[in-house]
Amino acid sequence: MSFDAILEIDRDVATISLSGDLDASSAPVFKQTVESIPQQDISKLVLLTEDLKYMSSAGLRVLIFSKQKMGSDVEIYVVSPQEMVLDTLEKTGFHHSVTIVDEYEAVIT
Amino acid sequence: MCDRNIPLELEQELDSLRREVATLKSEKTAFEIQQQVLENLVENERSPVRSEELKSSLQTTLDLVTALTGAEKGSLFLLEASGKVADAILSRAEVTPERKKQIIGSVLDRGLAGWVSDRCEVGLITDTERDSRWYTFPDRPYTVRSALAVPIRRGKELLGILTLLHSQPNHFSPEVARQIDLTTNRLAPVLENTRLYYQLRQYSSALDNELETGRQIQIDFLPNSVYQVPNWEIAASFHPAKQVSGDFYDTFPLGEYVGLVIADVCDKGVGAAFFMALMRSLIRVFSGQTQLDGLSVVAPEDKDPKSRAYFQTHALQAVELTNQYVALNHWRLSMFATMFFGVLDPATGLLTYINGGHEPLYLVDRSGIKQTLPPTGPAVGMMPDVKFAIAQVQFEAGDILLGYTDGVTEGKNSDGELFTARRLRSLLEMPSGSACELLSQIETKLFDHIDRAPQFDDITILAVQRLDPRTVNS
Repeated sequence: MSFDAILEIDRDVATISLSGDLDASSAPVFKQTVESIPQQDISKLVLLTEDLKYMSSAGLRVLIFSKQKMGSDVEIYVVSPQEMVLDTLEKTGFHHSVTIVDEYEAVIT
Repeated sequence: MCDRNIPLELEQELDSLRREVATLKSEKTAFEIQQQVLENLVENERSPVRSEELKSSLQTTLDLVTALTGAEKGSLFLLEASGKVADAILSRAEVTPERKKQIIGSVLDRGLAGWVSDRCEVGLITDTERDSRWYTFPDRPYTVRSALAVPIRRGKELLGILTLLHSQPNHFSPEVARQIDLTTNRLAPVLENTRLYYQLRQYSSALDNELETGRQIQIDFLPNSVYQVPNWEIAASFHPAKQVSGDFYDTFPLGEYVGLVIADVCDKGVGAAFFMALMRSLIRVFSGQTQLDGLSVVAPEDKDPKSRAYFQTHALQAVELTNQYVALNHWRLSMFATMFFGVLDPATGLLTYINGGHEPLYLVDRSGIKQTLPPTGPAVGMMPDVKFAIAQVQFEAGDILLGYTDGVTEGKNSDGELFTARRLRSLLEMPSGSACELLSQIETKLFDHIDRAPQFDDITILAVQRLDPRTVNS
C-alpha cells in the first residue's frame, strides 16, 4: 500500500500523519518529512499511526533518526499504532524511547 | 530518323519534359523513402523505449532505406560520445560477424566512414575506383562501386553513420543523398535513446560486478560450514532478498562452548551488509575478548557449574560492548540490528543467551513449542548505555531451538499476504525428527507461500538440536 506522511506544525507541536506501508522504499519519504521540521521551539513530535499498516526495520531506523535529530528534550509520541507496528516497537525495545498513547488528546492535555 | 521530322522547338520541349519527368521520378522516390521511414519512426516513437525495440526499430529503418534506395547493402554504426563504435546494425550481412566484432570499440578513422565522421557531412561516392575516400578492407569480398554515407547528428554531436552500398557506379543521386540526409536525421532521438541505454547497461553491469564482489565477501562472513559438535545437530539457511543482505547467522567454538548468533541488521542492501560484517566481527572479537582480559575462553578445569555459567555470561558481554561501540561511533547512521546471541554448553545442554530485540526463538520438542525465548533487551546499536538481561534455557534430549529473521514471518505472496508468526508456530507444533528436517519443512512452506512473488526481505533460519543419545546410538 502506498505510503504518505503529512506534517503539520501547531506552535510547539509537530504532528506527522503516517499512512500505508513504511518500508525500505518509503522510509526516505518519512525521513525527508522529519528533516523538514524546524528544530527550534518544538517540544513534541506526534506521530499519528492509526492508518500505518506496516513498519519495517527501515522505518524504525527513521524513528531512531527522529529521536536523534529532535534531541532528548523533545518528547516523541506514537498515537494509536496498529498491532503489527506496536509489535515491532515492543520487540525491538524502542517503545522505551517513545510514549505510546491511544488518543491524540492524551498528548496535548 | 523520326527526329528529323520533329521541329526543333518540340524537340527542346520534349527534352525539357524528359528532364522534368526524371526529376519528378527522383523526387517521388525520395518522397516515398521519406514517407515510409517517417511512418516507421512515428510508429516507434509511440512504443515504449526498450533496448530490443530500439535496435529492432533501427534495423527496420535501415532495411527500409536500403530497399527504397535500391542499395544492395547497408549498415548503421552507433557511436559513443568518444567516437568509438558502440554497435553496428547491418542490412544483409554487409559486414561479417568477425568484422563486426573488430569494428565495435574501434574508432572510424579510415575510408568513407572516417571521412564522414571527421567532417560530419554527407559523403557520396559515385564511383569508388575514382574516389580516394574509398578504402577497401582486405577481408571485404563484395565489390563496391557506389557508396553513400550519411551522418546522424544532434547539434554538433555525431550519433551514428548510415552507409549504403551498390556494386554499380552512379547508383545514388545527389538528390537521394539529400533526402536520406534529411530523413535519417529524424533517427537522432532513437540513436540518442539507444546510446543512453548502452550507457545504462554499462553502468548497470559495472554495478552488478561490484555487488557480486560484495556478495562473495559477505558469503565469506558467514561460516564456511555450520559448526558441529558431537551429539548436537546445527543447521542454517540463508536467502538474501538482494545480492547483499543485512541478515546473518554465525556458529563458532568458544572453548568448550558454542557461540550461536542469528541477527537482522535494519534496512536492506549495501548499507545493511556493511553493518552485518561489522556486527558479526564485533561479536566474535568481543566474545573472545574475555581472553584478553585474562579470563580464559577455555572452560575452567573445575566442573563447578557456577564457573561454567560465569564464562557463558562473560562471553555474552559481547552484545553490550557491540551495542556501545555502534551506538557511540555510528549513531549518525541510526543503524541497529536485532540479534540473538547464545552461548551453548553442549555438555549440559544449558543455553545462556541475550535476545537483543530479535524475533522470539522457540524451543520445540516432539509435542510442539515448549518454550519461547522473547527479547531480553532492545535491538543492538540503537541507544548507548543499555543493559541486556541474560536468560537461560535448558535443552533436553531431542529438543530443537529454532531462530529466524522477520523475512520468514513477513514473507509476502503476490496478494501481499504475510506468512505470519501464527503459521510458523503451527509448523512448530508438528513433530519434526531433526534440525535439518524442521528447517526444510519451514523453507518448503514459506517458499510455497511466496510462490512467484518477489522476495521482499532476507530470510535466515537457524535450527539447533540436542540429539537423543538413544537415537544416535541406534
